[in-house]
Amino acid sequence: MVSTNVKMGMRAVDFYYGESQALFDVSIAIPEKRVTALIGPSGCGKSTFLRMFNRMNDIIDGTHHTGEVMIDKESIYQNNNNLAELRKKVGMVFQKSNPFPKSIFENVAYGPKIHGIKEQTQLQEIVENSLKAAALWDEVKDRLTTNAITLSGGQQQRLCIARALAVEPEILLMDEPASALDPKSTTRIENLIGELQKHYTIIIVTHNMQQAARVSNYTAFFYEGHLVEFDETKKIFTKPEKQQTEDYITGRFG
Amino acid sequence: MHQHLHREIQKLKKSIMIIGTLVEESLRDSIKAIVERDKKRAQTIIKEGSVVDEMEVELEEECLKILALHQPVAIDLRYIISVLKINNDLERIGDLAENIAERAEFLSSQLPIKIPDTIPLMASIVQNMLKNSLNALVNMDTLLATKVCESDDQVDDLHSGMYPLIQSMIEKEPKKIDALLQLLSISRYLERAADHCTNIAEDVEYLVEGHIKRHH
Repeated sequence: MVSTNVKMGMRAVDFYYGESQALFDVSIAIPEKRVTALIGPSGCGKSTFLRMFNRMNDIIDGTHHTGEVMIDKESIYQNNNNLAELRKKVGMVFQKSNPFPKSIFENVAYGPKIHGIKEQTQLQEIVENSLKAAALWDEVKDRLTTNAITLSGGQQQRLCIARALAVEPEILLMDEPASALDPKSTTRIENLIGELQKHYTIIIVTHNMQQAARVSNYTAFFYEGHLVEFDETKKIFTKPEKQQTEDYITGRFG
Repeated sequence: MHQHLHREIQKLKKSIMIIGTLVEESLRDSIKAIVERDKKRAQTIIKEGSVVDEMEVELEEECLKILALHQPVAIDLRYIISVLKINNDLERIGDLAENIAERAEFLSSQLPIKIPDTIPLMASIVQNMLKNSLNALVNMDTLLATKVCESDDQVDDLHSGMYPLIQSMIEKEPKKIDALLQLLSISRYLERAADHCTNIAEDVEYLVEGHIKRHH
């Protein structure tokens, strides 16, 4: 099914919040430089699944998992893994834009600075390129020193994308990145995802089925912690294999 | 969830069945008009043809509205696309019934000719194909749809057989050539109606299975 290289994946992953199991025997191979959308009702495990890839579930007490999670054919849950390196490689954008209460410039330069880049001209270059890649540069180039929280919601979200891009990740995890935005800003984010896919492997959680259909190449349907179906998006939305998938995307879920 | 969409789809189901029934009736009546030399019946079919035409346009607009407003997916999408296409095929069959009625009208003004058995035979196969293709749609029955497709060959063969038959009839009664030639047209209309029934059956196969099987 997947004709391109596999960037990341899981093998027989079970995940638990304490006693409660959130993922059941999930195995998947996610193609490189493609957009994979995760759909399913609330609580089906898609956000948990997403956060496995940057080990963000680790910060929640009492969680554990079995099985393997891999990026570039390497298991990312080995003890000797460098977490900072992993999070640099795997950027994340959240539902609610969360800019730091700092200038636009500082927001984007923050990550590269942490990773040791000090030279101002180099930082300027990174900020400009990241803002351009996030389709925000033209709107903010004359006011890089203003506080980021003065930006509109759609601009803030693109700033967060620019901030994620600034550390040159290879993977972008997006957890409902457009769900709090108006249609115009949503369109900009969706167009942006189309552009970013040329350089990044993107996984996006969305409750908007039409958005999944528009922006993604592959779609994974989760239900009650199980990966029910994973296939090309055009297949999922025209003739899914599983009745459960069809019932969900057509709104016939009981 | 999605109750609005499913209510709209229920309405489509009703409308396509009404059109289907009207078309079935005019096809049946048009053949009757031929066999019984019934000019009045023929004229009624021609006059009422515009009803189906109007309903076809209405149904198409309904489908477009649903696509725009509800952006259906999967089975719902396939259903609406199938209805759009089936609607068009039904309207074409309706037109062919009108064409047959026009021939009936003309024939009723000519000296009587013997209608060869092939015509009612073809007509009954086509009527069956139409009925079965609509039943296949209602019951999402691909087996029945496949049966409809298979009947098409039979109609094609009967139609081919009409040429030598009409030729020999003309040789026997050359004065009736005008009337006899009408029979060839009728046979061709029936053959085309069978093609449209086949299209409907293929759309049902697509609806159920999600694969476009045409031309295979």
